[in-house]
Amino acid sequence: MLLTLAIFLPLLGMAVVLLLPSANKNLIRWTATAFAAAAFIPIIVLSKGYGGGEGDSAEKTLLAQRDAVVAAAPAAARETIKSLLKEPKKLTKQLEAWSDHEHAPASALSDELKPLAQVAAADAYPALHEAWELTLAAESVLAKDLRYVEYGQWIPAFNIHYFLGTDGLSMPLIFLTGLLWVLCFVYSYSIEEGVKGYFALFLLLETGLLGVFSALDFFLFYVFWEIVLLPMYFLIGYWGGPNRLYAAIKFFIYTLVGSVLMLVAMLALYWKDGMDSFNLLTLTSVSGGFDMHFQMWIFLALFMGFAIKVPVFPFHTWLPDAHVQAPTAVSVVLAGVLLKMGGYGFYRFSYTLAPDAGVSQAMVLMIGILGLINIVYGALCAMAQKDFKSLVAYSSVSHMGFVLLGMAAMTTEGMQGSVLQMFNHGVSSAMMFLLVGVLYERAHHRDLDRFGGIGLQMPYYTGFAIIGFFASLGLPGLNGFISEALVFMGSFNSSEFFAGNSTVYALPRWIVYLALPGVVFTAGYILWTVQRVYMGTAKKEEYKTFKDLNWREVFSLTPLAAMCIIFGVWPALILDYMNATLDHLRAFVVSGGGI
Amino acid sequence: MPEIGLNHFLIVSALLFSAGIGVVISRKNAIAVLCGVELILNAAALNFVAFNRYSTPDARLDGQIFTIFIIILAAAEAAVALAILLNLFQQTNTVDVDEADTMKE
Amino acid sequence: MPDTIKIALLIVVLPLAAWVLGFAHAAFRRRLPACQDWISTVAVGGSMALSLWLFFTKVLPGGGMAAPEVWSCRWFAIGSGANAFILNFDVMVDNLTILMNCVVTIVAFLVHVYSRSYMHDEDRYPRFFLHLSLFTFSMLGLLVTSNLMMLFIFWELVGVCSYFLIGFFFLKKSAGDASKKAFVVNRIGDAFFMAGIFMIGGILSKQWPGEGVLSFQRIWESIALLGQGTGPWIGHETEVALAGVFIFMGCVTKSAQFPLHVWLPDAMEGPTPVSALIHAATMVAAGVYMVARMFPLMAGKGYTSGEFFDSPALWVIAITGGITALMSGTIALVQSDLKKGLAYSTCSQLGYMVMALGVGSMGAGLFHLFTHAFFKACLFLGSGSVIHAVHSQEMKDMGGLKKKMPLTYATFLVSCLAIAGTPLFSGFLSKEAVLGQAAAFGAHHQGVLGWIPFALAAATAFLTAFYMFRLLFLTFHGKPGNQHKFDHAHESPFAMSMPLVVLAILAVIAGGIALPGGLDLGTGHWFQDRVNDKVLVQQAMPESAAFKDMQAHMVHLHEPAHGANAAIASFHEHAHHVHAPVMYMSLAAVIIGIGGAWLLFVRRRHIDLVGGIPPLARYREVLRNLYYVDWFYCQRVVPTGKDIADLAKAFDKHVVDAIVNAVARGGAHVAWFAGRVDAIVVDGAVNGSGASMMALGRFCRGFVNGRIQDYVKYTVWGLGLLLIWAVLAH
Repeated sequence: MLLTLAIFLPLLGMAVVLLLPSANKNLIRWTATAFAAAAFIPIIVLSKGYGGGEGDSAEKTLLAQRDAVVAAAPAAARETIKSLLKEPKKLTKQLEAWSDHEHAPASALSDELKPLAQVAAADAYPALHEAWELTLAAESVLAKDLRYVEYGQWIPAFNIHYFLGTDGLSMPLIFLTGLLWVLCFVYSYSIEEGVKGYFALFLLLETGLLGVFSALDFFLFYVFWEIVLLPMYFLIGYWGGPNRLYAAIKFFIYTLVGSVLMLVAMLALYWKDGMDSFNLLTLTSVSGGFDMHFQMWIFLALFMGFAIKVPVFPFHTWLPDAHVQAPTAVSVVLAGVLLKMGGYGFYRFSYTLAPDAGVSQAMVLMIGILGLINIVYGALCAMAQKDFKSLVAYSSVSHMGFVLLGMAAMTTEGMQGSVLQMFNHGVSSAMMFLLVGVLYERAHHRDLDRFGGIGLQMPYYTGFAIIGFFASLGLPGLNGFISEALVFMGSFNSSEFFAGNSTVYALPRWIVYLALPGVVFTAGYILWTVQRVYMGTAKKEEYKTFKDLNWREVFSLTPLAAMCIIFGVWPALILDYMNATLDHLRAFVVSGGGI
Repeated sequence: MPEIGLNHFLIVSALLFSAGIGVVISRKNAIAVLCGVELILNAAALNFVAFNRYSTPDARLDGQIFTIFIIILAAAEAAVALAILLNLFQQTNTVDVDEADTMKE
Repeated sequence: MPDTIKIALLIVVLPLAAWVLGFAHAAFRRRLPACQDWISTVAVGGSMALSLWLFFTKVLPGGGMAAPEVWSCRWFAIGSGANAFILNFDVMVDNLTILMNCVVTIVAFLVHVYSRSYMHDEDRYPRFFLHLSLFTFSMLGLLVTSNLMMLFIFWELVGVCSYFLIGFFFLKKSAGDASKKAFVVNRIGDAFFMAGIFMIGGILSKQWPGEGVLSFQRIWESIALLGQGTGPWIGHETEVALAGVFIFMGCVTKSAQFPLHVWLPDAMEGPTPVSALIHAATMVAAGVYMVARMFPLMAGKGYTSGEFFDSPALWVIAITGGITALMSGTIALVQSDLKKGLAYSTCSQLGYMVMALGVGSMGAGLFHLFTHAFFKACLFLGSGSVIHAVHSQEMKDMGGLKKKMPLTYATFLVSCLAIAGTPLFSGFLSKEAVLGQAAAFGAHHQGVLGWIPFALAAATAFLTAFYMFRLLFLTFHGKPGNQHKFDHAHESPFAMSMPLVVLAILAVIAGGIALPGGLDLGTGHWFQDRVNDKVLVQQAMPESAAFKDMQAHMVHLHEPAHGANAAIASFHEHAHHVHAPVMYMSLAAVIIGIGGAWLLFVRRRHIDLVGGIPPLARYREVLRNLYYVDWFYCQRVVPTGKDIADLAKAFDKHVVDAIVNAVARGGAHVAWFAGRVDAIVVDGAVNGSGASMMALGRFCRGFVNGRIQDYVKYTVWGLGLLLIWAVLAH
């Protein structure tokens, strides 16, 4: 229940907000914030519960569902179904054969398929299919760590279910989403035009995102993925900067192209071998057996969909435009959570559905090199930017490169470092965009060359800025360092761990050596920015009139700053959380899907 | 000389009928059209008489009776048609059938 | 947790507490507490007291701690089983830790006291102490940890504190530039350092899968195993040297070695107490400390057998150190800025220490580090005193100040004598140890190459005395360069002079003089007895069989260790033979150096010595421009970096994004084409069918013309056709 509550409360909030009178802006703001906070409460409960090992585990829930389905099947076929389910792998093959011979007369069927015919004759085939799905799902590697699972029928005709769950991979992201929404809403009180539409769309966006991170049915995932696109388009296109329409449409179409390819992959998996299943867990438990050719195509199609979101060079050019043109709060959630949809998609879908392809030479090299390019090229581009927000956008590109690098390495440190980097980047990048927004609201420009001496005028703000920027730089003691160090360590070790391994291709060390200068470039542009903006004397007289942070801004910045410090000093807090899930996932991937 | 049979009468009446049709279709003057109509009626009457003579058993005179009916009806119909024509002439001052095309509306 | 560890952690945590207090106050009240200076000073004082207590109870009596105290606690662990990665807070307290703690806390405390007076008029005065506290915490943390990754973490933290402190006067662009430069240059070294750490971590985790492998003990053990022919480094011998060099690169930047020393002179933009604390005594020493801890790794295969003098990593270290020492020494000759002169002197002395490590003596390098901290801090604080009095950093504005500032002069003189290596001062003992080791190294190798480090060190020894006394004479002797400033000069207040006195005393006794309690007289062996391979490494690894038979090679012992192998025995022979000549040579260096400086700068006040001799005048420009190293970085490397960045941005905008936009425009054209097709062909078909229907209708309408004759005509035609059909169909 908790997940559904968390996902749909914002949707309800959107409906309520739409009904409120447009004139009463404050009422709208408070209602929206109340709904965001209301959605955050079940998320907090979920986080605590997951850490404490509570919540119905996937295995238990799925098996219980399976038993219910079997019990509800027509009596004539029940025994047959039960006996068929005893050997799920064999049943998979039988179902595959059945799909080819479905309409053949009974006499033409082999012995294997006769029980299936009997089941079909008793109108129990849907029950059998669902029970098979659930059995396999309960056996999959993901089922070990997923909790708070919710399962129900949605569109029976196509075997689409309402299937949600959360584990160590998605829980931190869900938590981050819930938190960022509350912070962004409070920050967005400064929006004066079209307040109702703004908050309504933002709430819809939250539903979409929370759904993306919890959906375990591929179709449901796709629906939520698409739900995210539309509010973003309008939020950028209406409340954005001067070039907003171009940026909004670029973002929308670019992402849509990627998700179309994802749709193709989804359908290919549905129709593969007559499985007719969208259930991610079911597909995971059989994915190891897919032939390499098929896995490559699936991986590539999914890669396109997720790579555009990450964003991976060369599909990243939508990001600077979107970030610069979007209003501050939208940039915050774009950088903080939307980019993570890509990384999350890789770990949740690509590597589970095409494990052999994911660790094959071509893919490891491709992802590793693209990660390297992201890191170094992103840092170089950031150095050259004149617009503050554009610089932070490119720094996001650079940081997400670490995610890719760790992913390509597939060692413990590399993989967990890259997932941690997703979370850490969400925190520090969100904070940086908020910081830029604070400045923009006062100066009404973001030109780095025109700033100077802000530190003197706004010391409290500068304190936050130092925390945010140094976290982004990867200073030990703040959260960015741990994830970067783990990623580098893991990438270095990949050639040691996987030397001589036939399934996994080890990431070559030269890629890591080439990525190390990225650290220096990052330090370069961040310190240069800090110097240009915060140090020195005030370049313009008007800077002397800037007020320091008001309560709204402090409210938005403080939790993020606190998280930067806390997770930097005690990373075990979050690493222990994710450890079991990621360890199992990694073992699954490097063993080629457990088969 | 061949025997005068039914066919001869039918051919004559067919010729008369065609002539009548041709007159009805192609003449401009309404009175001439009426003449054509008379020809058509009389061709039909001739058919009746011929069939009576050659195909009906003796002592029956159905065809002859029909012919007398036709002559009477033709006369009556001609009278009515002329009356309509007179009315039409009073309205339009012409007996040209091409001018009487209000039925197209 | 052993008591020593508890005390050590308390030493580390006290300054952190001061920082946290200040930070929390600022977070909640939006400004720092006004009494931050008291809080920080008291905290550091407490740390100092505890350090001294540990020193007097653990280190001095009976040859120091027999074995280090260790403790560890898990920081985080990921993965499981053989794939796990575990990182622990490893804490180790041994002689070296306590000694370094003493150095850091004493100097830090004195700097705190000094700053209360020196910085009193500055804006943002509390913030200075906040940063000092964070720095002290980071430095102390660096010293107590025995895990390479944790050391790196504190290493970076120290770097960031340096960034804040150098850029303290951030209203000046030069200060901002200097701090940025310091951090970025350090980042370069840190990138290499990280590469080295990862390399080690990766290779070691093969041997000890699923355990924390970055602790010093594990690393030392792996080297011992290598010496025995087993262990994780087998098959990776090049990686041993490579990792050693990479890690050394971290030291190169942190301890300002050539070619990454360029940040240190610019770091003088920071306030003078900062220079004293960070850039003379402590932070720059961190690099040397780290190399000393990692000495087994640098030494490589031959470490336990004592035959490591050919280790490639150590060669690199020795040469780098030697070059730095000489180069910086020559640059210091032509500096006219007092602080810059001292900065280059620091650079040079650091080169000395590094070189000492490179020629195989952990003890000598660390001993010089220990003594150098005190006299260099004294010199810097003394210079601060002078600058405070004269309000200028240029020596042109100074001169003849010994009458006006006698206390400062006295302490400065003492420190100069120490740094020059005058007997009876601490610097003599440490310098002699370094030179002795270098000479023994040269004798051991018996080729030209082997003597290079010694040659460089000897030349530097001469130079050191010379340029240091040049600074002394130009500042305190002769006629005032600027009469106005001279008139206003006065001795510093007590808060500033007291630290000078303390440091000067330490500059004398730190090497070791007779004191009740069993210190040796004038031989300096007290330090090296407590800080050497045997004590620090061998005794830290009691379970390891390989270390049991480790051969010690300490220079100052006149006999080799029992059962030493031939190489060690021969080394000791050589050390024995060079001992006396080296001592005489260093004495000569002192006398010639001081004498020469006296002649040139007091008798004949030639500030511009080099310019006076025409052949050398050309070289003066080279020296002035710091051998163009900095110029190379600033005028060539950085602009190139910026150009590459601009190129990347242009590429991104005009190539990558252009492709995207072109694709979009192409898509728009395709769409337009599709629209035309749709409008003309498809829609045309639709409209066409409609139009043809209309035409057909219009055509049929023509039949209904209201003429009866035509109707009859149609009827007859129809009938006729029907008849024909009826006839034909049968």
